[in-house]
Amino acid sequence: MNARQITQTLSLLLLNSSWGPELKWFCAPVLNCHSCSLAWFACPIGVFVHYAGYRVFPFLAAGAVLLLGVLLGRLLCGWICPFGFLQDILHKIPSPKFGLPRWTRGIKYAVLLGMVIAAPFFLGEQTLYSFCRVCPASAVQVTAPNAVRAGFAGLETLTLVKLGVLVAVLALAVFCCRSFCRVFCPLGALLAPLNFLSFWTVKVPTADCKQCGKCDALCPVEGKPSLRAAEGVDPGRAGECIACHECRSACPRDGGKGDS
Amino acid sequence: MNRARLEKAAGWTALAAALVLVGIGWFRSHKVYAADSEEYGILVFERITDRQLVEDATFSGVLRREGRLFSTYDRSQVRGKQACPT
Repeated sequence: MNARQITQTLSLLLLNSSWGPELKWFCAPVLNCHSCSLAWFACPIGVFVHYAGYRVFPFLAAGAVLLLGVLLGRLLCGWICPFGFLQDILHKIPSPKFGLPRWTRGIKYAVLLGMVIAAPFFLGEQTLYSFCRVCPASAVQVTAPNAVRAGFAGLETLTLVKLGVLVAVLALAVFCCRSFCRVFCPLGALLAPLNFLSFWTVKVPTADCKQCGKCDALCPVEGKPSLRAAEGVDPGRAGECIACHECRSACPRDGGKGDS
Repeated sequence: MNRARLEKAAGWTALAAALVLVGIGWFRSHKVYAADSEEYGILVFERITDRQLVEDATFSGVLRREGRLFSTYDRSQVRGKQACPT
């Protein structure tokens, strides 16, 4: 196990080990459902959905996401998010792998605006069209265990849809690395722009890049770090970069020395 | 101003904005009406902090009806952990 996998495992355990004290007033900016009784913190997407329904601006939740987003950027996605970790594990299953067209990255912004803000705002926080109704993280943490406990008896259509979305997302993750994070995750849509100004960034040596392409082969989000390096732009500043640091460890000019 | 300086300036500005948002959220309160207040024809409410409203949002402890926020549970009782129905 490398440092990232150890951190992801610890995050999964630490985020979901609540023994009682209520800390759900704090939103941890990762996709980890607060409905799970073991979760310590609130999910910002779930809170945004409810606040949109209340028609109240979520100062505390937005502040927490912005604060941690500015400090860490999408390092939160690459190192902390339990659902990202699950996708990373699934992608290790031997199978044909494929990439995604660039335009698909824009879908997550539509999901954020439509299913997290607009639908609950206009239709109420209990609307069937909110992101929480189809959230795969919620499905894996809450819906699936509840369905198993009930012996899959008397499942409602909504539950079946949610489980169907989960199966589709997990299946896609086997063939395409971090596909959900790149295409659908509304939290990714919130954090991606913060990569441009976050204090934590992956610093690959851009000045003497030989365009060997080793970083491109390892980049889990098809960020093409070598192309950005050729343009003299920091690859870690790409909106899709999850700060996994694979490019840096692959770079023969850098040899994986140190971090940002 | 070069790109690195611009990024740093934008980062510090966003950090300040985040602290302002957290600060406002920390001291803000919301008027939440009791669940059964309509039965008596009198609207009884209490003020809860933004922190409490975030906690309530995690299990649909508050609902919006006719432009007002209503509690879905008895706030005078100690509540245990609750799951969100969505």
